[in-house]
Amino acid sequence: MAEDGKRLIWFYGRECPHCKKLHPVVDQWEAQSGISITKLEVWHDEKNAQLMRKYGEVISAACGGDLGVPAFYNEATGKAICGSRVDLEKMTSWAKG
Amino acid sequence: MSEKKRYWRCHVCNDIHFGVKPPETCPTCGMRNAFVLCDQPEADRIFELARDKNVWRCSRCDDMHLGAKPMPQCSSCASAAKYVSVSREEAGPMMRPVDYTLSAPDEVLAAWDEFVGRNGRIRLWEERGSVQQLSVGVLENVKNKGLKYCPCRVPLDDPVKDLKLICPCNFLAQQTWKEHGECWCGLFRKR
Repeated sequence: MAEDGKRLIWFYGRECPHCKKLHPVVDQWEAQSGISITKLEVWHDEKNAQLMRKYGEVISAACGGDLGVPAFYNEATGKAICGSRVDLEKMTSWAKG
Repeated sequence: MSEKKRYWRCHVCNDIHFGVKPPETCPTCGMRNAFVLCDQPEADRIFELARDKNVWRCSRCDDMHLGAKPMPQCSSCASAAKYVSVSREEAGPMMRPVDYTLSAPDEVLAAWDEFVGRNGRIRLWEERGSVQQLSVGVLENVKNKGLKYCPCRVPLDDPVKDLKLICPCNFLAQQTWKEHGECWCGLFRKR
């Protein structure tokens, strides 16, 4: 597990349908890459929501203007990807920075 | 439709209308078929937070409208009677308690169905399981955060700014709507 400040983070919502669909994709990506992603739920955990707001400017831009889930943030590179169309290929590109 | 007055919210600009029928065109933003049924707690919260909006009353049937502009014609009594400005203190008691709630998933789903049924350009996601999950999500957000926020957006912890996250939100302005014909969470889609 990467230390704070160097994590690959997935922000998700428990009742977000796109997040639910992405769960197995994230699991598959972790299994294939051997790299773990920190999964943070934002609607039922205010601390996680606060962290997401801290990275809000970059994530909002990736989401098309507003904060949304599912969103992925790379603490090492400061890059984010967002939305229902995230797939294995996009995750690999995002993780590599 | 019952002749009882209900609360309606414009999903584009958050105007609130209290009347038998929703406005066909929002007097503030000009959008057609933009009003969705809402409940009293939601209307009360917007009434409290949207201090830039004024309150207007139909001088014939006492329908009320919270918005930047008055209704040009009453949607309930169809009269061209003038909407007159009233103070927030006067308006509160006139927006009487209603005998319905949107506090169960089936009630939320019925409000969404009614909204898209009245709007020829929008439909609900065909994946009914995902739609039901979203109805549970907005009610979870009522319980935890006070309003029917979209479960796929994230609040800024600023009550006024977060008004734009109430579902249905102004999805017409979203990139996903313009590019893929669906709102951010996928609930509403172009027909």
